[in-house]
Formats: sequence, C-alpha cells, structure tokens
Amino acid sequence: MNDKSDLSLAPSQRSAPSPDDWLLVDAVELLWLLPRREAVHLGEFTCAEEALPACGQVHHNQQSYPAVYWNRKLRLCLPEEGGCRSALIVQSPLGALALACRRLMRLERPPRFYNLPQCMQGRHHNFEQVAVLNGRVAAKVNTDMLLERLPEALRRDTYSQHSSLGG
Amino acid sequence: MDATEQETSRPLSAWLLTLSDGSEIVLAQGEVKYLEQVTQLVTVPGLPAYSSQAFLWRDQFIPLLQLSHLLSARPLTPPKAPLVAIVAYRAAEDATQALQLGALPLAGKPELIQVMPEQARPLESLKERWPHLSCAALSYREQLYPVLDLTRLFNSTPHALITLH
Repeated sequence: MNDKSDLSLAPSQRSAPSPDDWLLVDAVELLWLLPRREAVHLGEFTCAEEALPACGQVHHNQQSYPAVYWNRKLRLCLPEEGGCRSALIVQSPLGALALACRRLMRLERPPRFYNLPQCMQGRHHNFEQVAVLNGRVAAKVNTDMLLERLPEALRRDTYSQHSSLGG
Repeated sequence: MDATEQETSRPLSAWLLTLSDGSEIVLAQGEVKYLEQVTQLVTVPGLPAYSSQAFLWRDQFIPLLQLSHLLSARPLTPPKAPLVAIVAYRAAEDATQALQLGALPLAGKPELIQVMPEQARPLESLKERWPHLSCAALSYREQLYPVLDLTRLFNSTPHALITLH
C-alpha cells in the first residue's frame, strides 16, 4: 500500500476514482476501508464553542460535518483521545460524516474482503466484511450504519451533498 | 440380533482432542478436517477474548475460538503459533449451505477413538458450563467427555453465547 498524505484527495491532483480505488483510514484503534469515491475531503478538526461532546467538526465548502472517533468497541470518544487531528469526510446516500483519521493510505489493489462468521459478530460493531492488511484487521466502512449510530443531535446537522471529488 | 440392532451397535470413530487449556472434548470423525500450526493470528477489535482471534488459511478467514476464555475465570495466554484443529460446521440450520470452517487450539495431536452408542450419557451429566456448548456426553475409559456442538458454538454471536452462561 502507498502511504499518502491528504494531498491524495486534493482536487488539483485527483483523477476520476475507479471502482477499484480503495482507501485505508487509520483511526488508531480501528482501521477502516472505503471506496475512494465515497471520500470527500480530509481536513483538520476544529471544535466550535457549541461543539457537542464526542464530536469535533470539519469544515468544507461552507458546510460543517460532525467528526467522530470510535474506539475499538465502536463507542464514541473525544477525537483527541484517539490521537487524531484530522478527519475524512465520507459520503453515503443517507448523509455524510467525518471519520477521525491519523493516517490515510491509498491501496495499490482492491482488498480481499471476508465475511465475518456469526461467532465474530460483535455486539457493538456489526462489521459486515473485513480485510487483513499487514497483520491487522480492517473493516469495510458502512457509512449508513455509522450514521445511524450517531446521536440524534449530531445527525440532524448531517445532510447529503455530492462529493467534491466527483465520486 | 436383527440388522437394525447390528447397525446401531457398530462402533463409531471419533476424535478425542485435548484443547490448549487442558480440557478434553470429543468430535465426530468427520468434523475434524485438518491440523495446522498457525503462524499469524489477527485480532478483530470489539470482541470478547474467546472469539477475537482468527487467521487466514487457504484464502479463508478462520475464526479461532478459545474456549478457556469462555469457560474459565482465569483464561490462558494463547501461544504465539498454536497448533489448531480446523473443524467443519454447518452455518445456521440451512443444510443446503456449504460447510464452514472454524478452529480450536490444541495442546497436542488428537486421538482417534472407537465408541459405541451405549457409551452416550445424558447432557446434564456434564459439569459446569459444558452442557451449553455440547450436543452430547460420552463415557470413555471411565471418564466423561463433552461432544462439542460446533454449529451452536460457531453460529452464536458472542453476546448470545455469553448470555447463556
């Protein structure tokens, strides 16, 4: 895999994402995999005065997105607890949110996904598919599921928009 | 003795396995598919210790269940390269689905034994939490062994299985 900075998402360097382009989001306790076409923007956290607990914000195109950090049990934590200073805005048909991100990498080839057997279906996460990368398990992002897990107060500030990356 | 009686009293082959925590269990001969020395385990976050480890084998993702973590208050530290039995189980109750594979860590090589139907004992005769994880009990060499219910074990979510206890 290639270690890429946030420049890989900058509009000036982007190319049309192919269905085979995948990103690995290192969120310290969890690794996320998502198709590049769902990634909108990688930006620095800011915390507004009225910021809700367990939530930073990422601004992009005059909109703010709730930026959240999940620990290994998929419980919301303060983003600072995860040692993340930036977050990746991801887009799904139901809305958008920003995943706390310490490092963002572009994969050289699509990951091989495996379905998790029942005995590995966690009470907190319901990961549907995982891949194994460099000896660590990375979960395929299910943005809609993550949006459902956002507290109502955060969800109402989350709205759909088209990806600035043209995905 | 008629043909039916002869059929039911024929000995059956089964595996006697010593798990890494020293507990002994029995599985039907056809349930144990392979023995492997696993060199790289991966951990799925957010799961209880007994079901959080897995490994890749022949391009399949194989869950490794550490029953000692489920059954004992003092679980063992698993070895770095455990010897495992790769076992086959049927997913859910759908008999049309292909067999799934799971794994159990071993302390040594399994022993193939011959057992007779009359060696079966009531499930309730098993001690502690074993009745929840077993489909039968078996008396062999004057000891009682659980016959592990692989389908229940691998098809139950950790939450469902832990709630049983």
